[in-house]
Amino acid sequence: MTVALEMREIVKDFPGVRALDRVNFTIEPGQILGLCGENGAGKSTLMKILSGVIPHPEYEGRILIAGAEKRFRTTKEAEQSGIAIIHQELSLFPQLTVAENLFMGNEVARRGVIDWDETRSSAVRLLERFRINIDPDDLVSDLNIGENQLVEIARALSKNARFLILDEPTSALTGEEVVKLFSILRDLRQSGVACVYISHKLDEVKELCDAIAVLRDGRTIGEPMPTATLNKADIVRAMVGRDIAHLYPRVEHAPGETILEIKNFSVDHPFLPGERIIEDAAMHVREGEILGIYGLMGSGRSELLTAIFGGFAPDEFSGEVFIRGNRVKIQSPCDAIRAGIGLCTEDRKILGLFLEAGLDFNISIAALGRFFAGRGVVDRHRELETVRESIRTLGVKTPSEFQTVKNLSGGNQQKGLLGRWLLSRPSILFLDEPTRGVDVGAKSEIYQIMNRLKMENKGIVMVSSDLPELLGMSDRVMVMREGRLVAECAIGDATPEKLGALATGNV
Amino acid sequence: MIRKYGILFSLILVFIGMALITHFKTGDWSFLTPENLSNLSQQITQTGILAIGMTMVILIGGIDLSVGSMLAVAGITLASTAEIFEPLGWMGPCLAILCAILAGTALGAVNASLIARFKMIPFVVTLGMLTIARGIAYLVTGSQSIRTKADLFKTIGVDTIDKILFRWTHHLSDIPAGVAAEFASRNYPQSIWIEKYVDDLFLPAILPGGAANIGKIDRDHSLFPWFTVALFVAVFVVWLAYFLRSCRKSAQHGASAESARDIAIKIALVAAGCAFGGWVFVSHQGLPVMVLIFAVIALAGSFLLNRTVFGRHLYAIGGNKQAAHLSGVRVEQCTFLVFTLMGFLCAVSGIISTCRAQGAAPATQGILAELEAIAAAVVGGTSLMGGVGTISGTLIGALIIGIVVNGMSIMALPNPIQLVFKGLIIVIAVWIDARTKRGSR
Ligand SMILES: Nc1ncnc2c1ncn2[C@@H]1O[C@H](COP(=O)(O)OP(=O)(O)OP(=O)(O)O)[C@@H](O)[C@H]1O
Ligand SMILES: [Mg+2]
Repeated sequence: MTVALEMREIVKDFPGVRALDRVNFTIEPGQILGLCGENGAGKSTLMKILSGVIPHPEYEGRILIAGAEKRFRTTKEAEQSGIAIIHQELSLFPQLTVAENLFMGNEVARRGVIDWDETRSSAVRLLERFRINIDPDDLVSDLNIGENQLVEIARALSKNARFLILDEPTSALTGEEVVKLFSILRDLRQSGVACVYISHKLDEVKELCDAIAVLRDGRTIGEPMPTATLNKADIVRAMVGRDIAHLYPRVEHAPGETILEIKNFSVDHPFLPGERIIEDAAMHVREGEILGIYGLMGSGRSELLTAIFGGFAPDEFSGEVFIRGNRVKIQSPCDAIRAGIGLCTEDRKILGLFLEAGLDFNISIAALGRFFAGRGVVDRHRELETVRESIRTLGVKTPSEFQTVKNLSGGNQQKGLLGRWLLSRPSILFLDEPTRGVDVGAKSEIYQIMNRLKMENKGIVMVSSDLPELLGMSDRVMVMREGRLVAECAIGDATPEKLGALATGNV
Repeated sequence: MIRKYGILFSLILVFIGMALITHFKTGDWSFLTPENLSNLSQQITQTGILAIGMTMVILIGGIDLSVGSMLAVAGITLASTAEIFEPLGWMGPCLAILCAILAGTALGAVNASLIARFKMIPFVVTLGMLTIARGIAYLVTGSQSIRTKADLFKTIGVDTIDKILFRWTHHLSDIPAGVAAEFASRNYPQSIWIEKYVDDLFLPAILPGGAANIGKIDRDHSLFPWFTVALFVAVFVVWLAYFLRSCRKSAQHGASAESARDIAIKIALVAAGCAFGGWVFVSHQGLPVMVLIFAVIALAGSFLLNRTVFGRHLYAIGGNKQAAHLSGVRVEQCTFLVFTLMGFLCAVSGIISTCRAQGAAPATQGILAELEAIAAAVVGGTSLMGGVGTISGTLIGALIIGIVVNGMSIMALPNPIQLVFKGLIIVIAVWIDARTKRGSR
């Protein structure tokens, strides 16, 4: 059998970090290879080199396709050799339509003039072929993050790649969409396409991939292991270098008083007058309790949290909010933070981080006015001390606290965002997909932190599409469907099947 | 190292380059004389003050095209209200200054509320204000220029702090009355007249012979600018104490502290800067009042951006508006403050430039000032995308542009050529900046 694609002795240095240290990597045709490793292990960097994002002379080592050396200086060149990549961070153009995005860079054009009819119908065909239910005329900015991800996948698939790289494609997808994606990938495998599949969801990796390669601190750990003979603990051990006994270390703790309650909470649709994205929601959280909220994409989970947090304009939502029994009026996030609420947002790149700023800036921003400043003047030393402390406890992997956040790996960015909200010391913490893109080791650390907050009698609301996580950590689960909170289950009665049925309405 | 001090490095290069070029062209070292350099510092003051406000505006992802016109309105307001208030004696000029500041700030606040409250695009709003304010400036005066006469304005426009102190300590309020008249009668051209007048204002007074003794004394002995010397020494000492304390503190709680070498380099750079600045001003009659005002504003601006919560929030807004909002930053409020502050700084700059020119002219004052201010900020590394920029960078940007302009007028290059070179330097500086940034990506 001929070796399809090889990367040999790849070395990549960034200022202050050696991201890859003589990595060897091989994929064969018709193989789905899982690539696992902790946050910052170098997975995305390796794939950026392969796909020409990091151009040829900026790294050391060789890329061979069927024995011939390739030097990609642009992504276009990599595409011409049949390599397509779906990035971990979304890379669509929000102001353009789905169809325009699908063919961006490969426009359907005759002599430089774009054929819009053909563009549109190709887009429809493409989306149909992969059974993706999105209108090609929608603006990407109107799609939610999961739909974005699907468009991105369709775009990569449209290039008829021989080698397809997927960098955490499912981090924003719900169960059903993941199943859909897997069947697409299996079809591709049948037709001889090779895939590299990066994910922190080890169950998925094990289910989908033929073999798993592990990176740790920029080095390959052993040969790729065939998944047939492997169990999850083996992968974890190879990745982290130690065993993780209980991934979901739930602690039992008797909840106290109700700390947050909302009644008759509604949010208007931003574009369609008369429509609502949240309809008459009511819920409560108690001290020392983790309330899980489950729902499909677009069910309004994130919007609910954002609205309570004051993220929408005051005339866009209505309803009553009580904190410890007192009615509060929250008009802006600033009010919410004062009232002791924190919201760790779902989309870290758009709604969360200041990508061009340093990690220290990102972590301290929400706590600045209240904890590090007297009369508006920041005490930089105290701030830095606290930031360092939080980088240490969260285990953010970074050369220094001043590192530009853009240059951190995805999972480490997520930890930084979480750090920001822990630092603002909320008594009620909203976590929207808190472990998206976070490796197993760090996940279990984040769970420990959630438990600690719970023991300190904080109220936590967690939105998550990751069912095992939701079931593993929550004390109570509510289900959202089409903007309504439709059901509540004690954790004892909640099963994946039941929640799935409630969320889709097929009860 | 080069990357960290990249922009400072360019400044030094431009400075040395310009000294050499002017030397080849004119045969003397007139560029390097303290007189010229002190003059240079006054030339950049108008743009520099605007550029400080502009840095904050650009930092939050905005732009203000109306600064030149707002400056003109402030200048006109100053000159015309000074005329009106003239009967009030010493209070007149003070009231005029107050009016000018109110006028500038009010215009800024109009911009600010349209942008912050009604969510209009800064480019469009300030483009409108650019012509509206210019129109107002014309209307107020009926397109005429107005001269300013009050002593206070001359003090701001041409004096140095040492001269003022000197006058205070020697009770010079009763200057021999003939001095001014005498100078006026000598028919000096306008600019020289101002210089001479001020220089000579205090000289005769300390000599028994009064005005008759003009020219007989050695200037350096009569007015050694002790105050300027003390000021530069004090600035350095205070900075050093503060800096060392801050180094010790970061060393205490470990991690990422600066290395001893970095600390030494920094101290050396600041010491060299203070010594050089001190030399320039001490050898030429002391620190001009307007440059002192400029320095105070720059310090305040830098403090605001680096050390206050407000400043941090500005960086946040420019970095990612939505994320800033969701982190509890009051985006609307901050935006309002920044554009209003811009109006205030336009007023200050307008007052200073009016005092320097000894008059306000609606047709010429502040023309293209917005572009110079933007250029200074951008050359100094402020990103037009928002979220990136510093006051110190902007100051260096203003200096670089100022040096080029000053050098070119020493060489007496024709104006069109000057314009081309000025544009080139901006593009080149930004290009260099983009190159060095790419290396660290
Ligand atoms: N542009 C950059 N500049 C500096 N350092 C970088 C840059 N990109 C990546 N790094 C560093 O290289 C290392 C590897 O990052 P990479 O993004 O490849 O990790 P990853 O394995 O994909 O992690 P994750 O699972 O969190 O996505 C990290 O330590 C990261 O901080
Ligand atoms: Mg990654």
